[in-house]
Formats: sequence, C-alpha cells, structure tokens
Amino acid sequence: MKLILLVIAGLIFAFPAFAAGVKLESSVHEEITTVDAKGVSRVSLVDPTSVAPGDVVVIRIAYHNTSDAPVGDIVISNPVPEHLTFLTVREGVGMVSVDGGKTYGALVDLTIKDGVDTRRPATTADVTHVRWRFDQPLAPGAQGAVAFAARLD
Amino acid sequence: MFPIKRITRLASLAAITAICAGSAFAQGTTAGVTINNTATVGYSVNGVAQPDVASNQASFIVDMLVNLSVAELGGSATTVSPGATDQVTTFTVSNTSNATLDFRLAPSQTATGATTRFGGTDAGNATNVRVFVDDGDGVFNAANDTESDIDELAPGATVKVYVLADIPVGLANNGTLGLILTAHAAAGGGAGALGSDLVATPGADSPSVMDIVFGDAAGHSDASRDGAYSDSDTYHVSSAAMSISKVARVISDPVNGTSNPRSVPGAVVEYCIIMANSGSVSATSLNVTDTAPAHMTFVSGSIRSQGTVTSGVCNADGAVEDDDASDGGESDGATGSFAGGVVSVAIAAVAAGETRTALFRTTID
Repeated sequence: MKLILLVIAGLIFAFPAFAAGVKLESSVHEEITTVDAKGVSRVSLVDPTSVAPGDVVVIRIAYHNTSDAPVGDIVISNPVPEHLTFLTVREGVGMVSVDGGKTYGALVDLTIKDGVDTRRPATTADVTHVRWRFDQPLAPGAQGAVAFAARLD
Repeated sequence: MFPIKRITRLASLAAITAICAGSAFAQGTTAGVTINNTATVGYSVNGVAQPDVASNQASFIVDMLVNLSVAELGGSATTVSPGATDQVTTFTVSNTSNATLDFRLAPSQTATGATTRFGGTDAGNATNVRVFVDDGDGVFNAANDTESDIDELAPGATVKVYVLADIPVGLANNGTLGLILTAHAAAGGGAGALGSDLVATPGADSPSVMDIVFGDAAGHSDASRDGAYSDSDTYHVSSAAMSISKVARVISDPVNGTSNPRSVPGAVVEYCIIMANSGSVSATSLNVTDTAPAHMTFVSGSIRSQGTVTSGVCNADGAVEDDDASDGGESDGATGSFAGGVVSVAIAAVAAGETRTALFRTTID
C-alpha cells in the first residue's frame, strides 16, 4: 500500500529522486529496426527521433546503489503510462500485473475476469504495472538497468 | 488506501477523456498529449526496510503523425457530352492523422496523351475546374457546397469533395479527360480559415515539443511522406460521331424508261445524302443542305427524309416531305424544303449506331 501511494505521489507531484541509497533514473528511447543490405534486420535503441502513434518506445530504468552499504530486497515498480500499451520486458527478469499492481506474475499465468464466472487469459494490452524483484543484494556502487517495451496507442 | 487510488485513477481517466473529446481513438493518441513515466524502488539496508524512492519523471510529447488519403468515388469514369458545363466528379478525403487538420485542395489535369484512370488516353483539358467540399449531406448542391478547402477535419473523419469542370466542344467520342485531386495537410485550429501547409519537423526529436511527422503513402501523383495525397478520376466523352456521304443514281430517262436508264437530258437523277452516326449518343437537330447542281432541275415533292440504307445502297423509303420548312403538314419531326436552289432537310435525331438518309430528285436539263 505504501508503495502504491508513493507511485501516485510520484506521478502527481513528480516526487524528487533524492539519493537515499538507491537512485533510479527513468528514460525513454525509441526502438528502431534497420535492415542491412543482406536483409538482416537489427533492432537498436536510439534517442527518440519522433514518437507517433504505433511507434515502439523502450522505457529504461537505471538503478545505482549510491550508498556505501549493500542494499537488499530491491523491488523496482513501474506503472505502464497512460496511452502506452505494454509489449514485453526487455532487460531484467520482470513480472507484470493486470490488476493495477495488486498481484504480479508471468503474463501467461494471469487471467482477466470477462464475465460473471468466467476469466480469459490476460494479454499484453491488459498489463498495468511492471515489476522487477532482485534476489541478490546490490553491492555499494553497483548499478544496472531494467527496461520494458511499449507501443504508443 | 484503495479509495484514494481509485479516485486518482478515475480523475486521470477523466482528464484523458477530456483531452480526446471529439476525436477518434482509432487514429491513436492525440498529438500533443504528454506521456509521463515514473518508477519506484523499494529496498532494505541490513534487513531494515527503507522508504521507497521514486525515479525522475521521464516524459515525451506525442508527435503529430500526419496521414491522409484521397480516393476517387464511384469506381468509374463520369460520362459527359462535349460542351457540357459543371460536370461533377466525386472524391473522398480522409484524415487518418492523430490531430484535427485543415486540408488544402488542389485540382490538376492529366497530361494530354497520358493514360487516364479506367483506361483511355487523355484527349485534352477540361476548363473552369473548381473544387467544392460537401457540407455534410453527401450530395453536391451548388448553393450549399461552397468551401474550396477542408476546414477542421477530425482524426478518422472523411469528407466528400466535388470537382467540377466544363467539357470543351469538339472532343471525339470515347475521348477521356483525366482529373487529379491532391489534398495537402494544413495546420488546423483556426476554424473558418485555411491553415498553412504543414512542414515535417527536421532533425532529431525534441521530447518536449510536438513534432510533425509525415506518415502518408504515395498517391496517384505524389510521393510518400510528403504530407499530401492524390487520386485521379476521368471524364469519358460520349459524343455523336457523324459522317456524311452523297450518292447519285439515274432513275429513268425519256428513252429507256427505268430499264438501264442513261444520263441524258430529261433523265431523272436521285441524290441520296447518307448520314451515319458511329458515336455513342444520338445526334440531334441535324440540318443538311445541298445545292441542286447546275443544269439540273429540282423535282417538286421529291424530298424524303429519314430513309434507310442497306449494304451501302439507299432504300426507296423515308417520309415524304412537302418542300416547305414547316412540319405543320406532315408532323413527322422532319422537314424538307427547296428554296433558292438549295435543298434543306432537317431531322430531329439520328440515334447512336444508326444511318439515315435524305433523298431528292432532279431532272437533267
């Protein structure tokens, strides 16, 4: 509950990212698919040249343990922004939620209520949140990034 | 906690609904909307949970994806007659952008000699070409459809556009005239006024600015991603094609009678004027004149109109005319008159593909 409140606070008040121990840096990239002369297509991340409906963006969250102590129980949560449809986790082992962040799991295991007594398999369009839970503590000074791809509606 | 969250989500949904009101969701997120992303991290130090930390807010503004299409409506050429005015061809213009836009409409013509839409070769140019935007009723009406450019077309919306032109006289049957309608995406926002043509934003994206991106395909005569789209339609000229010929034969002479008559003085010679219409529509109000040759004397009451031809030979049929220019005595729709040495025959119509004659007789002086 605390987490959800803070997420909302972050969205509404643009909560400042102060370095209490772990620092997060969120960024948006555009995914570009180029096809070389041999017909091999290559996907690369670039700064967005332009983002229009249908384009795929990659949201990347860089983390950094700025303290001099190891930190544990790390959980990075990211609500899928409005107007974006989640596509896939790109970096890290992420789980998704289709119920507003109440429960998380692999997308194939999640269902959506679609009738009084019936449920259907969840799709990427149902994803509301992405979450990465770290098994291992993060050493002082250690850093990395997680990411997911989404399409602009 | 949950009620707070629910209210917040409802509030944000309401805000988005307000932003998108009146637009079609099918074209994607409306240009200019800001997309914000914030992540949070929870963690512990030495087994003690620490306050969650939020990331910065990464934001970008949805760019304007300009997309449009122009389509000829009806799937066939518009049939016209030479000299006809205000001939209407119909197109549709669709805004598939994620923003409300104006569209500047520019008509042009297929080059003479080039292949026209629906087959055929362009035979020339129509004149007095004008464009009118439908007022919503889907039917051209000169009194109501007066706008020449499209104003404030919503995302996903389509409007009919009428191109009117006059058809020159003298065009051959089955000739075609190609028309091209090009729509240029222009800035919306000023209701009642045509905005400037949009220009794609050059260079890299600025996440905090709504860039303009052209996403349109290549139309009939425009390039892809140029902020314009075009299609072509055709006027098909349906005309009468008249040819005329004249044959003479000797009917009788004073010596041989009708048996192998010769062209001797006193012989009767019949002139047959053959009018053939090889066109697609009736030729109407035909008027043929022939001056009786020298040394020949017109035979009163010999004019017949609207006879037929069999294998190139004029038949002895048709309506008998009374040598005056009035149809009062005969009421057959045709007149045959002789005045001042000139034979005149007026026929109401020769239908498409038919041949009709005018006959008169003279005697050799």
